[in-house]
Amino acid sequence: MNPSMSLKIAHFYPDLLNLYGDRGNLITLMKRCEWRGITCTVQAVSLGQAFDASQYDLAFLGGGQDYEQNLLQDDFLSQKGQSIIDAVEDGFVFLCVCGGYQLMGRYYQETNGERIECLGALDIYTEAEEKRLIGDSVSESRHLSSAGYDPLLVGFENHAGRTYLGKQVQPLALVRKGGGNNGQDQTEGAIHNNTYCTYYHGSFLPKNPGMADLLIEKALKRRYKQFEQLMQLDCQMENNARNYLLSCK
Amino acid sequence: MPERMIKGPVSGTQRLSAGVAMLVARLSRFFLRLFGRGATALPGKLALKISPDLLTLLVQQRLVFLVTGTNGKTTTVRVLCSILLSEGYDVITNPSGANLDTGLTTTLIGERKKLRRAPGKKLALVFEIDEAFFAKLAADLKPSFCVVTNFFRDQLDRFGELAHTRDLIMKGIMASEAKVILCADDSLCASLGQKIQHEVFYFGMGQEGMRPAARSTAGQESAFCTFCGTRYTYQAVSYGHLGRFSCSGCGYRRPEADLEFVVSQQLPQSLNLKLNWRHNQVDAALPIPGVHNAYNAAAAILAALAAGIPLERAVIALARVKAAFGRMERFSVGKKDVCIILVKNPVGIDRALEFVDMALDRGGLMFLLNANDPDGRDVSWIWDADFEEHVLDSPVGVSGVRCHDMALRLYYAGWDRDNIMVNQQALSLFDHLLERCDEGKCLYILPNYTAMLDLRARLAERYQLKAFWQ
Repeated sequence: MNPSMSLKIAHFYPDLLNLYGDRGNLITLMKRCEWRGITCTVQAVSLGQAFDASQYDLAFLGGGQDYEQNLLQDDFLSQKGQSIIDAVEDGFVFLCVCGGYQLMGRYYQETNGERIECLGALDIYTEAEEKRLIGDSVSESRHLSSAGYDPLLVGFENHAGRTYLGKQVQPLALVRKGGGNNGQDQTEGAIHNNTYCTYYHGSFLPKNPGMADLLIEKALKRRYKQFEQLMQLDCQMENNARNYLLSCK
Repeated sequence: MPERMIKGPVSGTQRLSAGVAMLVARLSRFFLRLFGRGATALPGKLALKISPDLLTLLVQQRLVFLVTGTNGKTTTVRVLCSILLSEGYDVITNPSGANLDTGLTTTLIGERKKLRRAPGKKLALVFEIDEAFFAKLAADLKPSFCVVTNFFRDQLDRFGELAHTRDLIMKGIMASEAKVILCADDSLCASLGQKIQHEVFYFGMGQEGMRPAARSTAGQESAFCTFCGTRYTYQAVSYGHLGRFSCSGCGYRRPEADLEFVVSQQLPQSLNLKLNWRHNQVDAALPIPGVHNAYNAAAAILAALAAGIPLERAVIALARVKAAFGRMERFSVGKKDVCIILVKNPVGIDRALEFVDMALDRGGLMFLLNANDPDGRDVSWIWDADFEEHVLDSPVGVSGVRCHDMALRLYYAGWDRDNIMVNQQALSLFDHLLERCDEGKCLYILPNYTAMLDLRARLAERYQLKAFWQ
């Protein structure tokens, strides 16, 4: 057990960015804390609310439908933008999925050439293409294996945007199956400091418990200087679901 | 031959090609059946190759109802057909799944006797239409009535975003002069009726039947105004995002319902309803349980009312409705019952779980999750359903291609891991769960679409259930 520890998660725009089972990521973080006796609370940070990173240990930014995503663009950039940029640089732990991933970059260019300015917290940009990248996906992350976790990531991706990484950003993983960031350079997702981004949902964390644990571990290490390592959990159920995707051609 | 099946104007060339097309279609159907094939699409496909406007010709100047929307299409069609039949109409309807132009053409060619109707016999065509094909088919079929049941998130990898689905349906409505029947409680569905010249009828639940609105709309679908983007406020809700919504930004609010209903009593296998149509109130019994089916029945009754059928007579027909194939469909095996509830999307699972949670006769629960094309290949939607709210203690089994995803979902929702049986073989899991089900109890099965078709076919064979087109 890891006694008397607690973790506070900020969930950005749960009423607007709640696509494709994003909720599964929070459920996974909460359950994997709960099973280890770590108190975990999730708080919504939505329209009109400021983001104070000192109040939280971890933040989640998911994806939304275009209609809802347009509604938060202004609020995200002007109300929360600077504090998110500062937190990213400070090593605060973020997980950003799909639309949330794109929002953290410099811009999103629509197929008609129109550019939507994004936050620029990460040195990445996204350009949409007509053909969507859709399907079950597998990739391999050296970052995860060097942290002592299973390197294989599985998920389902569904995006028109092609994301390209700048020099200051590392890919989260290399594609084994699926499109990944852009269908070309074999990269999937992005890492900068403790900010983790991916195109995978399906949901992402339930079937990638190593990734979930890495995020929890990073967050606890920032909060508790004496913290060493997480208690191991049995991952049989998770592995059964992973194995199906890993065994598919 | 074709001139007797086609009403209204038809040119000489059209008549000739239609005649050839139908002959070819009938021949192909004959040979497909001879080789034991279902023949639901190919004959129509061949016919449309020869005579591209055949479908339009066959339906022109006829009474056509189209039913679309995310959930409840099949049940709504079923209720509507049963009202029309009891009014003395001949009814032609498409088997669930055959809802492309090819399937509809095949259906019509197979029903040519009804099309060549006897004098004095009224004929109605009632078609269930997939949302993705509604725009095209509404333009081809020129319906007299369009029913839109609701909009929920469903198979985003196939349909794209909800706003896109809504636009497709709007396009179909604009291509017709139909009377339009919409759900008043669904902000997205009701928005279709706000700026059109068509005659619009709304159905919805009376406020006295709803629950007080929760303070937070977190996780709720369609929480923001479709016209101006302001967050809706709710006076009351029925389920999901359905309720008394209003927008403080632009003033859009739930329209007054022409047909309002309240569920006065929920019984295990039926519902008692109070219906209010223009200050005329009647009681009705619907022999299908589940509040969402009250919406479906109201949609069907309102379509009948819009077609001039009196409320009292529509309600009598309601009492004879049976659950559609796999939708709250119930049958007995010895002293035990089996109930199949199709679940295709998060709100569908939520409705089914609430129903099963309340069921006093629950003797077991079985989930089946597939990820074939008609289901959507993305199974992430199971994480949006509220399994946490309904942790059930009866024996539980999961099957289907993605059974391990479902098992994982239940585990993270707090269901007892040791109590979850996982078996890829649906039929042997069914046998096992049925054996564990006590006498006098019911095994509830919650499959998604292709899993339902597959298991039901096997159960139909074993227990002599009716085939899905009956």
